[in-house]
Amino acid sequence: MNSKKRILIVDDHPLLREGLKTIIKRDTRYEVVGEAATGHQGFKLARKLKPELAIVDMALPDQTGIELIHNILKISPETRVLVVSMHSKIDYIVKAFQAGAMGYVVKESAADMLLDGIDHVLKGNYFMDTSVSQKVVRKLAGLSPKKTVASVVDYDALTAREQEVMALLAQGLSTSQVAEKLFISPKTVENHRSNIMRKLGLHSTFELIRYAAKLGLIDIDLWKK
Amino acid sequence: MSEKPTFEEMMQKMIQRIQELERSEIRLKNVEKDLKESKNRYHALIEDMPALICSYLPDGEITFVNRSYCEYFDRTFDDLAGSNFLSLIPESEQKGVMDNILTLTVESPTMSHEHQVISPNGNIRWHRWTNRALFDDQGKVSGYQSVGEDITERKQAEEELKSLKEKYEDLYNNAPTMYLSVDTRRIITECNNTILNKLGYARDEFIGKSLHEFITEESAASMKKDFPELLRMGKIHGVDRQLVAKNGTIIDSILSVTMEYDEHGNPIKTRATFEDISERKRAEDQIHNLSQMLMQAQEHERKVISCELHDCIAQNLSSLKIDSDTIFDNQRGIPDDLKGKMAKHSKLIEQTIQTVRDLSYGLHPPGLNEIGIVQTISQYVEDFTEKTGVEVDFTPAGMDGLKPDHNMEINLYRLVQEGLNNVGKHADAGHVAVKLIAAHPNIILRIEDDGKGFDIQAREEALFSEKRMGLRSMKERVNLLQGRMTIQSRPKLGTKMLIKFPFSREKK
Repeated sequence: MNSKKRILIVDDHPLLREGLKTIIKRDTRYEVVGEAATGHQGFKLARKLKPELAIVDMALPDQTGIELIHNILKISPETRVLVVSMHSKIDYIVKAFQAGAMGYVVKESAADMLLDGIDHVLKGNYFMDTSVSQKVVRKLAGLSPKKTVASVVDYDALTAREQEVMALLAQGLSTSQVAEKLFISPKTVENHRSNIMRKLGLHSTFELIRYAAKLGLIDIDLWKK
Repeated sequence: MSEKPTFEEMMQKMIQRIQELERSEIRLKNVEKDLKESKNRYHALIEDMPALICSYLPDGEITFVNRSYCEYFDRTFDDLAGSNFLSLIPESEQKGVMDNILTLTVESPTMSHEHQVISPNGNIRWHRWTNRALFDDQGKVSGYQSVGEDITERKQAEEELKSLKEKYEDLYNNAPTMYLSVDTRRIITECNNTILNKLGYARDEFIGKSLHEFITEESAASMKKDFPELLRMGKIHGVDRQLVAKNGTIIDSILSVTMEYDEHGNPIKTRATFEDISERKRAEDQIHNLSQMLMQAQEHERKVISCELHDCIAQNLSSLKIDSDTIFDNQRGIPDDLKGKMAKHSKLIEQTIQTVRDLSYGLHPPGLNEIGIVQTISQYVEDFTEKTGVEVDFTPAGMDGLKPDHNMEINLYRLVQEGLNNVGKHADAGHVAVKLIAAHPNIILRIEDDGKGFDIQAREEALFSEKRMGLRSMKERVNLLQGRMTIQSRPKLGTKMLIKFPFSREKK
């Protein structure tokens, strides 16, 4: 059939929405079926219309674009999301994709990129604005070795209490001293301690201290003799 | 049997009698001689005495003065004899002097008094005179004998001492500093009015009490700790202690203590001064609050402007650009030069958008809310490396799932920004490590570079005198976070900055 792909636009700038509609009109395969100025309205329309595509701004007056993407995909998993945003920072783009967006276009390049983007996303491909994709690639290339520092990932697995216990142990406190300080039993401290050791893959107090120093949890004054 | 004495016998007796008479005459002569000698000695003594000696009749007419008297008044004996001694005394004093002298009686014939006299050059001098009244057989005063000395110097010294004492007492009691002395058991033995006024105690409520009753427990504990040093050094200078007033008000003070020793070197008491710095503390707190408010206001303004730039101006410009790009849609016969002109417009708008965006990002980190503090710092760190060429390793640890409030996030971000800016400007570093570690109940931020380091104290002082913020604003921010900042720096070994502040939310 020749049915047009239905598109929902969520952006709080009326002028911009007009602009986007003008661009979309260039392609007869698409039809804008709904417009919303807030995340809340956008969500309601998405639920009602179940559009093929939602064009979402990252900065909305009532919620973040990320939240809206999550919400739309929850109630209308078939809807594809294309982000059209003022932000050109890579972390935004990453967050948008993590939230489930399929494409990202920076607003000022909408006239050149939007139709391309819509086309790709509706076909099920990822799309990224060429004005930002270079940066993203550079970042991905540059970052990968650093981001995967094993120690840090391990530390992220500790609970707040384990962090607390670890800091005290690393300062050289004994089990009973830690227990006294935190008003818990020495046995509980021992439990925390063995959990910490397991999560961090450590086997001795010495290793624990070395780990803590490397992490920056404690000071090992290298300048002191 | 009575026999008439013979002539010889009578002659004998006569001779005896004559001899007796001769002997008693010799004795008399000896007595007279002794008396004369004694008088001469006495006279010489009187004459040579340094004291002023004078005899006068009941009406004050001088009958005798010694050499010292003559010399003192620079007059001859003849000149003085017959004159009235009162003429040497200022008129205002004369009556008082006479009244004193007239009090003398047989029972109480001597008295001393101090009064002024007129010296030969007309100056007023002070004298002390001891007067003795002489009486005739009927007990009537026949004259007076007086011994005097010039006591002007002593009098002056006394006056000076008195005025010094008054000055000292005034200073001691009314100085702005609080003074007190305590004995070796820390019992208060002495204090000035200032401390009584400040604390609101009466003297008898204060003296004799232990000093510890008037300071905070914490200060009392510190003082106990100070004691060995006091014993060793003999003094302690300028430590922060807190006094407690009668109404419970705590007075922040600076304490200095000096030990006093007896002749064997044993400590007997300590003198303490407390300088009230609560006003200063208040002023400091106020400055501190103001600078924090200033920073918050600045941050707020930046954010408002940044958002306005990004969300309004840049958005409008984007709309304009889209309009420019689509203005000729569905229109035929548009001349190429017009299309070209519009394309130029569009390009210019695009450049403007970029500028506005950079400006906005510079003023306020983009999307703290959306992407969180860790990503925002990570982004900043990358931009920093791109701009300065300084390699930065950013390692967040345990921060997942933590959502500090906006104020904390923005301060944390600015700390990294200012810390890295300092490194960029001054450190000449090749590598910087930024570590952000959640260590419940704290968050730790470390910025460590391998640059040339600096003299912390000199740098801080320089920063203080300069109008630049740098370290100072970092300190303020750390205070805002109720945290602590320590900086270690060694020339050629780089700088380590450690910032630690409480963050109490439980990690999920």
